[in-house]
Amino acid sequence: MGERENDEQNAGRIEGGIDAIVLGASADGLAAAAYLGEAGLRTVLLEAGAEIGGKIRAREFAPDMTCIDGDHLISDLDPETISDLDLYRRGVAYASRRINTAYFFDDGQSLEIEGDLINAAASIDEEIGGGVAFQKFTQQFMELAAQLRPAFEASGGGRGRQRQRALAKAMDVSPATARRFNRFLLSSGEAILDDYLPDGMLKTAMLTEIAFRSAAPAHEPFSFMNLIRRWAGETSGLQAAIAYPRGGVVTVIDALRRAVQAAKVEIRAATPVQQILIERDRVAGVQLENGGQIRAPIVIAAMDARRVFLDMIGASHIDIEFQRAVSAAKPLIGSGRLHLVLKGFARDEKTKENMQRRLVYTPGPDNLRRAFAAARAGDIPQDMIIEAIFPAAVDEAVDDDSRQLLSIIAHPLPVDVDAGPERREAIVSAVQANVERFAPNIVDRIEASDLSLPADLAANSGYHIEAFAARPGVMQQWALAGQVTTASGIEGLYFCGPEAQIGYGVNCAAGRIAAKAAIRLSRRGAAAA
Amino acid sequence: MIFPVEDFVADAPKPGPLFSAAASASEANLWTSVNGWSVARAFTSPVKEYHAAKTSAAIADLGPLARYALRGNEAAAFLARLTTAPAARLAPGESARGLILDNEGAVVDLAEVSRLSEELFLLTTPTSHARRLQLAARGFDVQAEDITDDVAALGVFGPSASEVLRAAGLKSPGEAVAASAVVRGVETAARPIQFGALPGIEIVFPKDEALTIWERLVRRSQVGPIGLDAMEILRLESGAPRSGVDFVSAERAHPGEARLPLEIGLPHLAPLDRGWFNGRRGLRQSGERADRRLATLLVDDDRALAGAEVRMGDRAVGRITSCAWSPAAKRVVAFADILPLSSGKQSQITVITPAGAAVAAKLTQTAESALAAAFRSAQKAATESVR
Amino acid sequence: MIATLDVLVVGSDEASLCAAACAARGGARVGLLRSKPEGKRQSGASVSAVPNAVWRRLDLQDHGVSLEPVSARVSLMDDGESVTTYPSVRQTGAALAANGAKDHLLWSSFVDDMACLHSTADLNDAVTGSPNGVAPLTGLLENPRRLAAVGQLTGTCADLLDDFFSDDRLKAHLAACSVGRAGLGGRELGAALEVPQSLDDGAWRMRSTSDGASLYAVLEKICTDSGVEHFEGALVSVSAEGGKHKTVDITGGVRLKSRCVFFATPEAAASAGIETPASPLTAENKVTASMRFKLRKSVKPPAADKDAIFFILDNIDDLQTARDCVVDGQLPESLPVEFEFARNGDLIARTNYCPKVFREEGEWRDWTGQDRQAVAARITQRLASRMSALPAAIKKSKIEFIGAHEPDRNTPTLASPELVVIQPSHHNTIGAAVQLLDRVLAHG
Repeated sequence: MGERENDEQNAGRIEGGIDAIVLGASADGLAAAAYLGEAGLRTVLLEAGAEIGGKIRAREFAPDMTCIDGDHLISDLDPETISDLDLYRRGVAYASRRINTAYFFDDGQSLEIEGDLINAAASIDEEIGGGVAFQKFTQQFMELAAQLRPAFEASGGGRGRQRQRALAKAMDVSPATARRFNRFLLSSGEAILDDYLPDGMLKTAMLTEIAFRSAAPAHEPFSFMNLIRRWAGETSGLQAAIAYPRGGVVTVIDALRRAVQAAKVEIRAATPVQQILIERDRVAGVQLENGGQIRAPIVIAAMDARRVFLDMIGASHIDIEFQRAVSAAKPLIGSGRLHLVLKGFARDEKTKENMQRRLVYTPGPDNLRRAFAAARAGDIPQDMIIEAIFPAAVDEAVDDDSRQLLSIIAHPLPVDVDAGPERREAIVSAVQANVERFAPNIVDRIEASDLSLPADLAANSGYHIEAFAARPGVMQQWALAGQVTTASGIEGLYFCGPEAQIGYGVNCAAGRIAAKAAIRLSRRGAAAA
Repeated sequence: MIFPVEDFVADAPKPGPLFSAAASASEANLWTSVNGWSVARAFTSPVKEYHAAKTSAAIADLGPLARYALRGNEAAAFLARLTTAPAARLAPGESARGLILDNEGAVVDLAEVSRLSEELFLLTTPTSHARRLQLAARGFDVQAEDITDDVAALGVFGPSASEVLRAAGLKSPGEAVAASAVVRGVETAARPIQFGALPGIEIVFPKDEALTIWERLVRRSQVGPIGLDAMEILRLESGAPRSGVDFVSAERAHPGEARLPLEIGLPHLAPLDRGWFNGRRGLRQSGERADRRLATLLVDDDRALAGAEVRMGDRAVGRITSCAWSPAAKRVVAFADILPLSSGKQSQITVITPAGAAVAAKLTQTAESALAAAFRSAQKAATESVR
Repeated sequence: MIATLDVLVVGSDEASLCAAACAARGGARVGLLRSKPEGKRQSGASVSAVPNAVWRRLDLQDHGVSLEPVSARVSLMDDGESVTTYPSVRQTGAALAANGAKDHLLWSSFVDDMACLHSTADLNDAVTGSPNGVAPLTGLLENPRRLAAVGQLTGTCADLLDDFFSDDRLKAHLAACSVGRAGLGGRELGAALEVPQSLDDGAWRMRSTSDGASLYAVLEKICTDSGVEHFEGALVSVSAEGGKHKTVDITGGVRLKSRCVFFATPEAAASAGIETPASPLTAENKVTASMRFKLRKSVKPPAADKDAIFFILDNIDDLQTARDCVVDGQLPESLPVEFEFARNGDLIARTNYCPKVFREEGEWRDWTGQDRQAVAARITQRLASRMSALPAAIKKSKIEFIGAHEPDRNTPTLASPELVVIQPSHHNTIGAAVQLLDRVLAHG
């Protein structure tokens, strides 16, 4: 079975004989479908859009220039999913396994930190100072992050207990340790960094990592855990590393698609689902927008929680408190994605080497606080964090060219439900102004540019905008993830949308956990029959 | 509809629209506070009022109950979600009882739903649920309006309730269907209600005209008012649990205090096969589990014993939650929150009086428990026929 | 001889005295370190309620204490309107209804719900960073219902209030009553915790009645009677040496040994020059300014009566804007100010929205005399904006800053910071302090 265009003949038809339906061909949806298929369940994967990949997709935005929407780096791809679904054999390869990060500061200084964080401290210039403190800092918190790893995994299927054990273990038994841990959990990033690192570039760099892509600035409570969450990730066998897959993040989607196909799962693109059918408190299948119906005892939803629970199931079928939890928070802060085509690059080795890093511009703690205040008030901040990569330079598979793509994530920005052309222009020029601060005169070389905001991603994917806004503190994410994955109470429904994940980036663990829980249910059902 | 528990601290109870009439009718002058409203405990003597309601009729001020008017396209769907009452299946004029459950299926409160017209419903609950209504209304085309402060309500209880209404020139509702009438320019709605086994009629009308209606009923029909104490006897005899006394709202319950419908003897008000309502999944997951049971006991004693320990043989099995002296049974009738008992041992039930003496008690059937038993046996039959 | 103590309580407010007295009555060896000589304290401001459990432990009825709740909490908006809430749920509902707010019907549900959130005590312990509040946190992840509560409480005050009410004025008022006391912003994560706390029974502030004994004086007496050792001065250092009992030095060359040092409020710690450890309940980088006005003639408050507590704010975003300013090292333009009338007729105003350090042209600098004057002027101006008769009535005023860096004061050296316990900001100041000290003493 391959992909098949949805056609008129399907309208009004009721299909049966299917064991499981996966909604949404995001990375998590694909992973879930592959797991189900491999377990021998007859599975259909339904995607509303014409293409698969969820928010990650390749797009030609200028002549001969393709950019990848969504994430541009991988920091936390679930190792279990990689090995279970054999993703390395199916095409995931790293062009760069542990990208070094070059931090640029507002005073013109810069600092490079090795991708291998554990050993990074050793390579830090003595002149910069703080190397010893940084070593202690990374050591202690990388260890804590590794212990907490299970606690950050998506919940669902009795996961709560496992997370509890992980936390209990991490906190040890001695009251002193417990008190310290409690402090990490509740404190602002600034407060903890103040205790561990001397003022200077290293501290600012860490502060930037805490604030980047978070809805809460680093001086507010619970924010320190952002760093622990990030460092709990594992990529290419290395904790807290950042990698660039050969061909871009979209190759992960391609590999997952191959896994799905190998598992004999039928993928139907352009098949929007209108409703998830629920009978006697169990999932009964889905109602398609074209009038057709697919019946199955298991539905795995890999779309945003509002879409799934409020739109597809509807308020009249979910519990009141659950509805409140799903729809409570209002997002104010998000990130912007800017792609620039630059021309006329020097091709000497030095420049090339520089371009092979993850480039992070940080406006410094003071400006960062102001930036969050501005974004939260709905204004475009003057200063922001810029994460930029040159995909072609990082990815050796791509031939060097006189034209270069620069892929940027800018944070924080206000979340606009509807950004008009003037607003977009203002955002683009604000982002460019920040890029200019570490890469002077770059604006003169821009040939084409493309901005995508949370609202654009929402419009493209049919998700609610909340799914693309920055995530609040880890505590909030824990609470929401626990709710969406366990509290709906509908038998046979599993959720692995963005809200199930703690942290950001392509991860797939939520998909794996949802699928495994679904497989257990299916086996239990089979045994009972 | 049963009154909730009296206010623990009476914080300047408000006089309801019928207060001045009730005050002048009250010889006993014994008052309490419910939901912040002044309520008469007795007008003459509870036993007298009780006998009047049993043999002819009596009127009660039902104003302190919370009332909501629900309008809109999806009012029926909204109510079907909020309560277990089959709102969508009601024809205009019909009413149904139900429960409000929390997500886990534990009882929050009792509820009564009346459909006044295609898109207008009346919801009556013992206590106010403004927040729950606000949350439940999200995503629905419905306007929920709290009309508690705008209307007055009278309950007419007793075998001759219909005659009382007719004598006062009010239209009496049929067996199941409400009636509305204009009496001297006042719009009134009357609907049949049940106070346990006692048939009754509830009349709802704008509060400004409250005294007119009261006067008319009292003058023309020679009917007397009934206070909370006499109602309490009627309630216990009919087996209707009272919120805050016999069970605690799941919203406010401490761990171990929340109760499922079956545990308070009202499984028939939350049938799982009736269409979706809030808490049904939680209820389904709890299955047939019943850790506790609210049972009606007849205690061979003359004095009230609230809080007394209930024993079966030598084992303490629970406590009495509310009780009253029943003039009919010449005993104390009580609700007891006890462990589910095996039916064989019922003869050994005793209640420990404050003085430490053990008095004999026996389980008894009430109108409510009969409904629950009938429901349970019908359910059992249905499961067996499926097998 | 060196005094050997179980705990040295540092601070000269009612909460410190209460904690010291309760601990001493419980059999602990307690020292009380105060900066000002006894009796020189100007009081009259309201204090948080004495919880019944604390009252019972100290048998305050035997000492002629009688406390009267503050009559109301009133927010004075910039257009002359006001929002008032009362200790009585019924009264508040009626007042809101009279004001035309549609939300009045929700008030009692709100109070109930907040009490419910608050009563999941282990959750509160966990997120407020109490010493043994960690284990429960792991339990929270198990239970979906608890998780929902975690989600609500670790969120923003604005989200929590938006979920209930539609009236902006009411929301602004509730935010002022709750997060205003801690100096937080309405859109800061974790600020939601303040809301249920502010509605707790112990959070409603009280004053000693004019005919009753002053609470402070009575607590002082109970402390003395139950064997609390009084010290005067400031903390100099806590050493790392010593077994169970570490050496504590205070000014004047006095040295004692104590198992721990306790601060009943973050303000007490700030006055002693100690940074409060971060907690979602305690705003960092803020300075509290407290100003006392002696009045020539009495001034009538624009709403309610003289026994109320008043909040001055312009709109719902004020608190967040002010907080953003504080974090950025600026003095907020529309400074949120809280004021009340003391028993002796003085007006006491207070704000929690002064920056710790100022930022001028990109440079950070310490407080100057000008800044102090500017804050005093801003507070006076804010008061005058609501009470035009005030400026003419002022005889003299005095301003005090808590937490501002003072160059002439030594910061104590804390060689073993784990021995220094500071109660995070709490609306139920006295109750929380007593409870925390109990736990500290019980757990060693």
